[in-house]
Amino acid sequence: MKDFDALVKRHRARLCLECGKCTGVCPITRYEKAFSPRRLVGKAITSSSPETSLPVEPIWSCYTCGLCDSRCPSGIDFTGMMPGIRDFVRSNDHEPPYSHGGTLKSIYNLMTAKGMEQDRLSWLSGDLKVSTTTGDVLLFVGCAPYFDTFFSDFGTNTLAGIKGAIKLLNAVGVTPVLSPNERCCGHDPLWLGDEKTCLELAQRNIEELSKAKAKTVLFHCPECYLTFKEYYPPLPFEVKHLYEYLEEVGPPDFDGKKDKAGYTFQDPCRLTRHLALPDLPREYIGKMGGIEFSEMARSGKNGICCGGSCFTGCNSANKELQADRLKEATATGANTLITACPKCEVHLKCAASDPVLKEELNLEIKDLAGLLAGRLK
Amino acid sequence: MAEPKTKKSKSKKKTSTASAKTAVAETSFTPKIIVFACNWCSYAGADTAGITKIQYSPDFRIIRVMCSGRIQPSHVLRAFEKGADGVLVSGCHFGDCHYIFGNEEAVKQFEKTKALVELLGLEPRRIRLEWISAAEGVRFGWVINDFTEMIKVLGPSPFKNGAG
Repeated sequence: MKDFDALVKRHRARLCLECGKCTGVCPITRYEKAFSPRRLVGKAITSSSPETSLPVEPIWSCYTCGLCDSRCPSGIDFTGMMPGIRDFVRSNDHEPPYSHGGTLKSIYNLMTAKGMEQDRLSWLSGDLKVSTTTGDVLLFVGCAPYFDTFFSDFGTNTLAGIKGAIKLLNAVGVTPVLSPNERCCGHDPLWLGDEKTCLELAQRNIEELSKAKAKTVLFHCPECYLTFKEYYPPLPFEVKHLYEYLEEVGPPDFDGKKDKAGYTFQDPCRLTRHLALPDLPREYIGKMGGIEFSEMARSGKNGICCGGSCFTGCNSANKELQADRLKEATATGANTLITACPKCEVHLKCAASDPVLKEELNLEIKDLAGLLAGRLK
Repeated sequence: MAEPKTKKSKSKKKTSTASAKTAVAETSFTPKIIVFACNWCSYAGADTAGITKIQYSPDFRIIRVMCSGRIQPSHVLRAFEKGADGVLVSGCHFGDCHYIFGNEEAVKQFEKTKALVELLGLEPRRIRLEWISAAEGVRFGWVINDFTEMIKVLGPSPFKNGAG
């Protein structure tokens, strides 16, 4: 079990003090008793045969949201260890419990094919100035067209965020390139312990994006941004988050129209904790002006995940967590919840479509870029 | 003597290349077709086709499911992931569903599947939804032949190699 030892060492798991802060703070443990980061770390460092003693089912419950890492006094990288543990579990013939019958897994697996020609830009309309050939700035669309098609049942509109991003870029005089054949970024396979698929997708993406000859590739989705920035092989272009880029070139002007609706913000775990950029979206919420904004009780670095990072093992625990998170949002007095990640939108909208919860909540879920674009001067 | 000979050989050559071409089209590509057939109508329809000794293309694998409404996008995409060239979903005619509205659900799921398949850049003709009753053995044979012909025209799926 040499590899497993290396994994344990690399992520400093042997430094565990057994304080249990990780489990105490873990949003999953609260709803799913079988899952405990502390117990998992304990098993990983004390067991002589981790292949038989690691509890398999709970492994797939982790959202890899990183809240436990932020509390660990020993600085154990539990979240970072998760893909390795999952890879190990996978090699022992345990497949992840994919949600939605594995549709999204099939989509990214199919995307590893070389000769595919997608029809992913049919949603473009005349008011959006884009190029599909070459240019200096490329906007990575991500899985939004697929999400909107597959999750159409409960009014998913993640493309509103992408359209908003294009409008914001147009407002600062940039015509972004959209790649007609970009692939999934590989975030989900990576965090589910399938690094091979992620790297294959990375290769396809680098090939496809290089065709546009762009110097900068912009991201609206924090997951795509994280994957490109931290886990991809060396890139022939620069990567930036949409708001980072807007900061650099000078943000567009917003009308600052008074709006009586209350707003609150759902922190995407990838943006807030993994990339440590909690202030980036908030700056832009502030720039909108004229709105009543209030933070949820648990926000920023203490924010709670949307409940389901890689489309695996969605169950009653996830739904309960999401329902509680939505109630936390309404408790601020807000009736619009702003998200900055397409997956947060999908998961929270799914939970909010519950017939009982729907009436109780009366909460709209909107993407930040889409909101900003609607308030351009 | 020389002229007709060359003519003859030319024409011979022509026919031989033509026949070779059709032979290539027929032999080099054997499509892999997945058929999801419902237990109550279409699978029984396939049985009827067999019992009545109807000849039809053998390039398909049939998977019996309890109801066509069970077939979600995940099943169809999984088939393409595993190298299928075409997927046929078959259930009971409207009004005949053993579970009353299972086939209506199948239509909904199929529409979603179609949209995803189109996004992925596959020809939507690679997937097909058909209603075949237990008595329609002839129709089963015809649908299989027709669909196989269609897939042969479309050629191998772009995901045949290097996906999944």
